[in-house]
Amino acid sequence: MEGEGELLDLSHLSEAEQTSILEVLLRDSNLRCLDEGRVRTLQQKEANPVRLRLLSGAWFHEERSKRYRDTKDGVDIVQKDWYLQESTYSQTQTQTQTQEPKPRPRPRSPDPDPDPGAQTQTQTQTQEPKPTGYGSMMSLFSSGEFGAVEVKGRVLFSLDYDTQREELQVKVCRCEGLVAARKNHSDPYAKAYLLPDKSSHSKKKTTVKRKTLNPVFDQTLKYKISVSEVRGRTLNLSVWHAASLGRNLFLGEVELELAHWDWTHTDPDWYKLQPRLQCSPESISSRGNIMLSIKFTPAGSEGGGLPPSGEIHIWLRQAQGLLSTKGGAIDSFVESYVLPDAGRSSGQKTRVVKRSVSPIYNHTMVYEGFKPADLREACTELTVWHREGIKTHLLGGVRLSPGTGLSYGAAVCWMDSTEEEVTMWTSMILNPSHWIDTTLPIRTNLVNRQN
Amino acid sequence: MSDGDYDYLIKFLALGDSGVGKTSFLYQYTDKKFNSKFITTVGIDFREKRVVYKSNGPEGAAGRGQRIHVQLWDTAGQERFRSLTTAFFRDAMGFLLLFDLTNEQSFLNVRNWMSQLQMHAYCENPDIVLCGNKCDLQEQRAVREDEARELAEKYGYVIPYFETSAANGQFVSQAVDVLLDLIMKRMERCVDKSWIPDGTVRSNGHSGHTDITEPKTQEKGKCAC
Repeated sequence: MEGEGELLDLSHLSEAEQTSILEVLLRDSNLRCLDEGRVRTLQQKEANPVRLRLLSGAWFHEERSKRYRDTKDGVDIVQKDWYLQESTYSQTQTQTQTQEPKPRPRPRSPDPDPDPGAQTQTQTQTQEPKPTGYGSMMSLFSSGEFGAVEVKGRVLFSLDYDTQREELQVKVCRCEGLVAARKNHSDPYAKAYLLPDKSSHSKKKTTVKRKTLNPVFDQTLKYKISVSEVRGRTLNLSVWHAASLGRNLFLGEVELELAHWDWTHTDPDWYKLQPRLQCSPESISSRGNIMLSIKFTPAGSEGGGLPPSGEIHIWLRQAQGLLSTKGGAIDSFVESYVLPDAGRSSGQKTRVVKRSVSPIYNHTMVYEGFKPADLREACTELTVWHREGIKTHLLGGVRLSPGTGLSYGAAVCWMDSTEEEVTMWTSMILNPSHWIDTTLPIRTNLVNRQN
Repeated sequence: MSDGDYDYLIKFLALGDSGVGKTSFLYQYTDKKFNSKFITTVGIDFREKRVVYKSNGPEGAAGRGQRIHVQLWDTAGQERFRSLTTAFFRDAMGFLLLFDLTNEQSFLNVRNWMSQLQMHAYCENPDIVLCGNKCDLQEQRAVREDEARELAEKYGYVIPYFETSAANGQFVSQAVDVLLDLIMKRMERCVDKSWIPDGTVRSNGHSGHTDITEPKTQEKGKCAC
């Protein structure tokens, strides 16, 4: 094991055991993030380099790296096994999206009945993600909270835009030097997204090449997209190992912002494969993830003068990784507001989902009366609550908005969206009548707004 | 305790055969409580505690206490979790190796645990404290103190040995405090001495029959940083 990040195989453990272990790793990850934050502050304040080495724990990592070339913490080795797996959710998502489920539009002022008996659930026939093994907890890792993956190799591809067809062509040639996901080989395929769109419209894949670390694809992934649209996108090209049991492993990715792309350059280039993002400052204060889809339906866009006014639809699917401070599952619900309207009647809630670390709410909230211009002044705030008897505790939430800090000319504290949250909201505005899907970390650092 | 308001994050790991009392030991240390019900640990777990490490160097009593956030990893003794638990060895700065004084096999297996440590820890000679647990069960004792001390001394460097009881708390905090002291001293050897004051961890002053002071021969092999 010295110096090599071997993948641990824990499939001999039961699902309950794996979940239990995962919860421990989640707690450890929170502690790590906390400490990383402390070290970052220290790096700015501590002038003495020797003292810094001690306080930051660098002395230990340096000592250890003499023995282990790969200086990742032991926990990451374990997590690599789980972390590298493409979430079960995103695979089933493909099916739900093509069905384009239409939730019943609800009045803007619903009956504010917090009783779980009041079924405000919509009729969407979502294919519930069926967790296989630890699949249900897997999406937790897809937001990159758990440290970088050791990836290797590079990918050769080119971009071309066909103006006649209004089509972007991603020509995936081949890869070299990929990580061996199984003993000495992988079964790789490449997958592309045009971010920020992570829906099935945006996802395109090559075929799988068996038993090779240097797959030759020579396949073109085509996107029907306008020139102006494509300039606002980021191409995410990732390489995956197709595991026989359906749990695919992440082998690396490349991201290109197309805003600055030179479209006359159509020759293929080599790109070094990158690992996923490190633990970000936001995740220090995150309590799990929230999975949702959001859509703006402009007035009259459905024909026959319907809908009478622009509507924001929020399809709240699921939260993941909600643990109480003592560990273990909790009773939870989610509340929504579209600010600046913070009146009682504007709040909508899901039912309480009992004792679940990853509760599936599958609840749609609809807010009406919006013109496109209003969207730039508004913020959709979703908060996740822990219900304990009569009491409720705020766990955190997300705020989807342009993040400008202003609403109708006035400075407000609740336009404090993170980059991801802004991206989602902007995507919704730019793609009317289309569902935008995302998984966002639940922030505990929402700026408190006076009620 | 969920703020980053501390000076050092120190990670320890408890290992040993199944049933020797690792979980109880750590629970006693962090919460000063004992639960006699046996619930086997699933793979791994950890507890945390905030302690103050007081320096008693040249600055004397005026020396500022260092705030330490201790993360105490608890590993399952069961064989089926072995591949998982050994993966965590290289994360720990110090180790609490436990055996059960009423179970001779657990003592004989200390040898195996030691080699696991030497193989998988962050270096070949990590800081370890050996604990013979369940010393409150005197009638069932199966391992003599001198046998245990002999084992602790045969590794080329001195491993502190304590006879502990997770049930009544005997020598639990002392054992951990000594391990903490070893780590702080090791840190000192790795960097410029002038910045780390000489220190001892505050203890209850119980003299007892065990040696709480630092090991005499520091033949651990120099920290080659």
